[in-house]
Amino acid sequence: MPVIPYCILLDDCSPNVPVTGVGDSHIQRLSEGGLLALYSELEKRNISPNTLQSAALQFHRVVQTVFEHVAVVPFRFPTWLTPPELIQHLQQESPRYKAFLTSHANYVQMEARLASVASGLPTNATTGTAHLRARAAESHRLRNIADTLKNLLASEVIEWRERGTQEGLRVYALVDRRSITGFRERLSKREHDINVRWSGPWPATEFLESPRRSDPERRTEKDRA
Amino acid sequence: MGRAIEGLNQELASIASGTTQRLDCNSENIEQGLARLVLSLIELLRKLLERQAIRRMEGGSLHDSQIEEMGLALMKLEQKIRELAEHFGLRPEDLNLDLGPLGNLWTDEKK
Repeated sequence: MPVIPYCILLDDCSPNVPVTGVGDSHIQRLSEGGLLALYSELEKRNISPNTLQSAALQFHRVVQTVFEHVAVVPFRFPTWLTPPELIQHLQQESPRYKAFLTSHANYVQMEARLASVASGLPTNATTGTAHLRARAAESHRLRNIADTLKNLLASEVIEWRERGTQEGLRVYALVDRRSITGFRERLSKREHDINVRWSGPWPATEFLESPRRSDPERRTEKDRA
Repeated sequence: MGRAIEGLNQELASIASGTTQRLDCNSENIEQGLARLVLSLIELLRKLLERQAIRRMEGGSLHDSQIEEMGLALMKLEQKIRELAEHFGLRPEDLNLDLGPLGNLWTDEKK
């Protein structure tokens, strides 16, 4: 039977795990390579477009309950694996995840979505130059908002990351759990901007480094294949 | 809060549709499936080219005529992609393919 994994955490922590998860399935634990994975055995047909929303909320509740007290690496919903694939994933990623979960044990991520005013819309430009300048101006506007936020919150934030998206720009702040209140207080001093939407705290996954392609261990695995 | 919930609902709807319609090239909608794939890749290239053009424009390495020419080409390409997408019943967000655990086709690298 396929499994739907929720998240990965360090094996030696004592998480608060709900009894049931997606589709009221029993939540199970798998220890491998110093990591603990939480998952449910579930038939794929149990999640349909009709039940997807409630399943996503159940999934989110499990991850958030565990994340309230310990750092986790959450899976994207819905991710389907076989039990051997889950074990293999834990074995392969053990060094990277353990390093991340240890160094970021007390950190969370706050996320801001900066919406582009003309998100996905063509410019009203009548010349090519005006078109490029309009796009550049919008990019600078988002950049300025991001820089203003960074200056305002500098004292509470350990590190920043950014991603351009179809809607505009996403800014991620790495924050110590103990600084969340201070972070929110500082944020509340800023004038409300309908184009900036904050959420969090979330697991600090934007700060999890991507696997290195030149990793000798990976190259060996590839060579063997 | 309302906007946040609306955004979440849209993402869930997008995932829901992705589970059953992601590049669903059956005999009835093969044209739309292929159009979605091809237009997604062209749109990705257009975004990359536009960004490069802006960088070069701001870096001062383009003459005015070159800026106008590149801007015009990119503007027309954007219009054409939009027209073709509409023709095949595709929304702009449909051109950002959901690649499952890898995320979406178009998102910037972490900075």
